[in-house]
Amino acid sequence: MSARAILVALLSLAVLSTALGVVYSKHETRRLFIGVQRLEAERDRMNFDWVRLQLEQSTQATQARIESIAHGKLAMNIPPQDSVVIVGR
Amino acid sequence: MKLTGHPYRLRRIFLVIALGLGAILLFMRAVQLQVLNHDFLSSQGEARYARVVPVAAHRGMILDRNGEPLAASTPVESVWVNPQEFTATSAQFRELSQLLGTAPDVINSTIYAHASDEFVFIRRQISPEDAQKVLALKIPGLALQREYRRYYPAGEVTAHALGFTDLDDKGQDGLEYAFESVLHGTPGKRKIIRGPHGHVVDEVESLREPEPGRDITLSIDRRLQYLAYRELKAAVQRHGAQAGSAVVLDVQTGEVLAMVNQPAFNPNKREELHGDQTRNRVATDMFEPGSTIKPFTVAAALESGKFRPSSMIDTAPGFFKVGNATVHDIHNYGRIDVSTVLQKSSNVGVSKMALEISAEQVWTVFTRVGLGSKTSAVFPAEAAGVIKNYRQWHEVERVTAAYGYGVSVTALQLVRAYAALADNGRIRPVLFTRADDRAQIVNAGEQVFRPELTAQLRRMLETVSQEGGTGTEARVAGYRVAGKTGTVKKSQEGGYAEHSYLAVFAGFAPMSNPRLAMVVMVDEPQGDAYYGGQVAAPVFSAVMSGALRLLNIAPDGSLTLPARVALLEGGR
Repeated sequence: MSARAILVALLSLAVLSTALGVVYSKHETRRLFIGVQRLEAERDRMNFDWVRLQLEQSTQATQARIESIAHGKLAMNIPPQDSVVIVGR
Repeated sequence: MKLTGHPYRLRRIFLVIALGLGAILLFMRAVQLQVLNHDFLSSQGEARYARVVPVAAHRGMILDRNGEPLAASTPVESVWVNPQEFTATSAQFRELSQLLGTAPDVINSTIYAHASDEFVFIRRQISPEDAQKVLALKIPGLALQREYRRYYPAGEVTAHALGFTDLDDKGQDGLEYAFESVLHGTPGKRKIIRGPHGHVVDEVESLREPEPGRDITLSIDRRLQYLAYRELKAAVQRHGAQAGSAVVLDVQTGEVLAMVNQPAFNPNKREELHGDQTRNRVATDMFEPGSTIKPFTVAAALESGKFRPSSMIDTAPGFFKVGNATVHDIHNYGRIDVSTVLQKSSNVGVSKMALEISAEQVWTVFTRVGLGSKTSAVFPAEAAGVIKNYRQWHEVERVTAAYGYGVSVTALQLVRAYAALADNGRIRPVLFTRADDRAQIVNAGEQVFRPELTAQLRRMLETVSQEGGTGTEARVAGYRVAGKTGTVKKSQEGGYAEHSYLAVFAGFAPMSNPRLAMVVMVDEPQGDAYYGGQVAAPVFSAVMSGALRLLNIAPDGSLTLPARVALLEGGR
């Protein structure tokens, strides 16, 4: 075989392998993108859960609700001033 | 070989030429499509299946100064259809109508009205669970879009301060509007491939990540806000009043700790909003401050050097004439000192003082403490108030201005001016966000009075809440408080209304080291009790008593109910 034929064969091989490489990396990109999408969706879902829980806690802890439970259910009262001892430093 | 030597020679030549021509034609067409028109065609093709869709960005939360959420956006889904592709069986349509809670006719006419469009919402903002059920119907041409809905856990308590957002989650009023640029996120862009029925086959790439809005930490304390709201609402109801406002300021930083109004609205039910309820009266409504302006007239008198706190003023016989107007006191107080003029809120006394000094001196003091100008550049639709230039004051106006008529201010301006008295004469802009560098802000501020002068005024204002003063109902057990009452005849066309009043109280506490300043304003209290000292001062007392306790501010007084004080071993 002449040197030229070898060169052509080598170059064809190179073309073929880079072509396969392109296909592979394209596939890999897709796969990773789908992975990112899934993780982002999960992150969003968790964020929303977090916001929802914060809101729920905040709604449960409104002053009006605490006050009515303290007064009504637990029979708690703000101590009158004359039964308060102030501890100075 | 002769020409006719081969039986198919002609046919062969013909075929070769025909096929050759065909090949050339095909090749030329290929070149035309692939090379010459490639860009146009490929973009057209892509447009048929690939689309760039926006990705909604999350709006930032609004937190109170202790990190409690006051407003947050939760995801919801909106249902939209492409009228070009929408086809539903009657069973699907019935179920859809049921799930959305919308009559079939309404859906039909909505779609019909947009028959030539490719996008129309048929129901906005339903819960993600319901949305999944709608999607499960698999109706061609129907899809969901994620949106956000604002939720306010404190409801009407924070309604006016926060304002609200529109359906697209954009701030429309209040602090939601003021901080729109911070709270608002930037939507992202995403490229997707759609199937023939509009549903998403594949998400190809993200062109731009959505940038969520940032959270904002307000200066407002949710506990104080609630306390102020509860007490104001109770007072407005008790006195059958039209409206009311209250605002609490941190004296040392100018931060707004609470800002409430009546009547209120529920920001979670946007359908029921109308302008009269949504106005934040604290910032937008101007009123004549009446007697609450007197400390500043007295400040001008003391600054002039013509008066000292012990100077005597003759207010007998309880009225006096200026031009063709008459200034009245409720009683004839006789000869009283400057401090008593404030304690009894004598119009005659303060008018005589104002006439002794120049109009310019009074006007400068009002202007220096920020009356008649906006308190910050933040709050939308804040009113500036009106204080005419002193050169345009006639003699009568010099007198009426001295006790708060003919000038108009907002509650926010008034509370800032009182905070300046409380903080040794330093005035600073009103803040709606938490001051992170407290030490720096405490030492900033513009000095508008000599500290000794404000100390004198504070002592005089304390007498208002003491026995014999007009504001005894402002007292707080365990603390010394100072302030001023105001009962203002409301102006109407052609003069002043006979039986419609504003009851006002402005003050601060604790006296020994003031921390909180507050203004309460109740509009048109009905019945026999309409004085500032009867209507507004009790609100001040109730809110201050709770607020001082919540903020762990040490008691400094023993007004009616003395607090016992025990000292720890080794303490100072």
